[in-house]
Amino acid sequence: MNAHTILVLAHNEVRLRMRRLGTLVAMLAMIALGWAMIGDPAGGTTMISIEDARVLYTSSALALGSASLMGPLMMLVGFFLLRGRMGEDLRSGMGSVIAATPASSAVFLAGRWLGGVVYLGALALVFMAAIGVCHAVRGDGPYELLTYLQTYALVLIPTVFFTASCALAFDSIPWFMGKLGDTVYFFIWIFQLSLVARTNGGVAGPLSWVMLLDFSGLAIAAHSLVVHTGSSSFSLGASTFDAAMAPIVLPAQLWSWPLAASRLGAAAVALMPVLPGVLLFHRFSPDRVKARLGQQRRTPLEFANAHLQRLSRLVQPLFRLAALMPGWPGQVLADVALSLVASPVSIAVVVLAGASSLLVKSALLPGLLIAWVAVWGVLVCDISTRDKAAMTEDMTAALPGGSAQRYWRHFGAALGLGVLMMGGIALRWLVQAPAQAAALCIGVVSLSALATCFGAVSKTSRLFLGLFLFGWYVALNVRGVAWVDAVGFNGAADGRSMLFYATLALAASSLGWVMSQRGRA
Amino acid sequence: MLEVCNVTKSFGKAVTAIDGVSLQLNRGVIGLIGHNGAGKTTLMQMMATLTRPTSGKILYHGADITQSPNDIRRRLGYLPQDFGVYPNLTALEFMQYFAALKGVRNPQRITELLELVNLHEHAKRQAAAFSGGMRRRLGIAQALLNDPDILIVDEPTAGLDPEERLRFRNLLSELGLSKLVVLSTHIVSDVESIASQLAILRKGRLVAFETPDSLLDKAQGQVWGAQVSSAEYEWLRGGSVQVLHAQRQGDVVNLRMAHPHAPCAGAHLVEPNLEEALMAQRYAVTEAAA
Repeated sequence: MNAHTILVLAHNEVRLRMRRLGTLVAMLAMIALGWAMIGDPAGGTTMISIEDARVLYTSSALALGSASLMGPLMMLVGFFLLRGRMGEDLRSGMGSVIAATPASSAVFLAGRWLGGVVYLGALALVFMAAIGVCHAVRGDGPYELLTYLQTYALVLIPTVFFTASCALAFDSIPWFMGKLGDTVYFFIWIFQLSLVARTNGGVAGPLSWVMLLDFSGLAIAAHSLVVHTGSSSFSLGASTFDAAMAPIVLPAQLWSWPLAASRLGAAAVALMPVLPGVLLFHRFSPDRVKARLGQQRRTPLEFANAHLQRLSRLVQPLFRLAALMPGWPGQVLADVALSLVASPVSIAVVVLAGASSLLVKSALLPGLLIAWVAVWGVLVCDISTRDKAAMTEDMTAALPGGSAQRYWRHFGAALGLGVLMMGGIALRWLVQAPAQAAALCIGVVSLSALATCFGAVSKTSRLFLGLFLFGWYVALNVRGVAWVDAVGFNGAADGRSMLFYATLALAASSLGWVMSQRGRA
Repeated sequence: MLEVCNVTKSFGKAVTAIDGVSLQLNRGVIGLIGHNGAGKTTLMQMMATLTRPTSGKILYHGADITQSPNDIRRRLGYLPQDFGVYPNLTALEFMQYFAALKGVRNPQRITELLELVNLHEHAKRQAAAFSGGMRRRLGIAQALLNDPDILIVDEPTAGLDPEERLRFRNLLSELGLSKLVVLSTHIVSDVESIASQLAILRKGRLVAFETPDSLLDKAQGQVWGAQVSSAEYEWLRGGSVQVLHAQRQGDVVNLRMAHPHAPCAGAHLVEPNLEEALMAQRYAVTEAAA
């Protein structure tokens, strides 16, 4: 009976998620990134290089490289795709219906967890298929399905387990249901990436117990490369190589028994977050989660918002000013004010960002920008979805300008907050480093367009948030690549990368607007 | 003021939510009545410019609202059936936001409206913590911010307690003196006393557009009362009689029925109320179709 219930629940979860446009967008984004990671050797780039020598694109090399690069991406994007189902249940009123059924909490959560695992597994399989096509185009040896399946399973099963377990736990514990949970998870993800440093700089030795915490698979991939090549100087991800050096061939079988056992151990440890999830599950109790919807203050962010509520008075003149401004500019200003009033902490953040942008030494501006871009991204990720989340969509669609202007109003509000927070830096760079100022302006416009587009297309803020944080982290770690430097904090952006982001802004805006107008005709 | 001209709305090839509806709407309270899925909400969404007709036109002061939607939007107040409020916003801030979006420059207007809907003492409370009735009153205050000529409210009394419903009815009745108020409901008593006209929708078609008195007049001679045994009751239920009301009292059942002529021995004509008149109308339409 329980097994049947779990299977039905899991099936429902998979079906529900697979029908979302956000899944398609995420799949396409992952496939695009996957292809971008597998550099074209003819163009001077490769996915894996060891001491500047290219590793041939055999099945084992492509499988290991692509799966281990997919792991961190799936950990972040997958989490945000899975997240929020309990919130949906609460908003739709289905939460109380579920709570009143005889299904035990453990069975219910097991169904949700299994659904998440199958969904992420399906995404991984689609990604593997896309890499298979890439193998056919750029591969150096025959396509060996079993090698791919073995490597993807061993690398990604802990990833999938951990991501699904965290998404479930963070949705089950009232404290972590909001942005606090998103932020905590982001730090967990960064910790995961830091594990690779333990292997990267070392030599081939016995497996450390730390590998049991390597859910992303990046550290085990790095360890495997060190073991098989005897070198700790390697690069994973699109990078250049020395064509004069003889290419390296990785062995067909990369997985020794200890390595495989380590992955199975990591898969078991990856289930640990489920335990607090089950023990602290709110089961949609009004005492524990209706309070969240009803605005009782519980999380630290909400606690801070409650104590900074008085700051919202500072913003109220903006509403009056907005009413005086005709058309789109007034509506944009109203939306900026709404963003600030809805979270008084953000008022303090915007004031701090604006002031620091104007006052700190020039040398500190890039570092400051890194921080403010991250905060800004988190702040604006839900602007284009908040009407839907708050069920005010129909009311705002009947306002002057209708739903068409609403789309551009959300875009304008994201941009407006960017100007408030980072406009000072752009102004100072305009004098000192015009190219960086241009990159910052284009980057903020482009990210505003992507935030609005992804929100309109996927109807959730978390798809943009996941991809944004991933991109931000990559930009933080890959400092010299122009096209990664979206907002110019690395000083690497050039004319071509700026043109790329300007085109991306145009394409995202057009796509998002068209999608947001569906169903009106 | 608002003219619906042969409007049809289809979703794909299979579903026709509104089928050739024509209406001429002027000042007063217009009640849109129909079953779930009759097309009330779709018709209101088209009037509110949320969605466009597949064919036909909706004219506001003679101009097609799909061609120039902002003309009507500036003079429109809309309250959907299901709506929410933004988290962390007080009622006052919620109103300030919508005032800004509607370009309402007089801050006094917000205070007046919060007083009108009796929320002025709760202006600084979180709107998300409001009860259903308070939230709905805040919604109507939002809809009235721009002093609209047309107020469209979809199922405004759903989920309200009797006291709140009465308050809401009175408010809408008052507004109907100077504005066009289009109100949808399937609770007939909500519109019985306040609607100047009723538009009855059935499967997307307009089956009647009349005053409540006219509907009551039409139902005269069609609503019957009788006291029958349980066996007779079962026989009547299984036949072509529309039973409007049945109350068991011991061995007998007191009935009210809709039928063109006396449905059973001992049946006597009774004065219909509006709900019974509507049911009789529905029965007549079904009979005619058959």
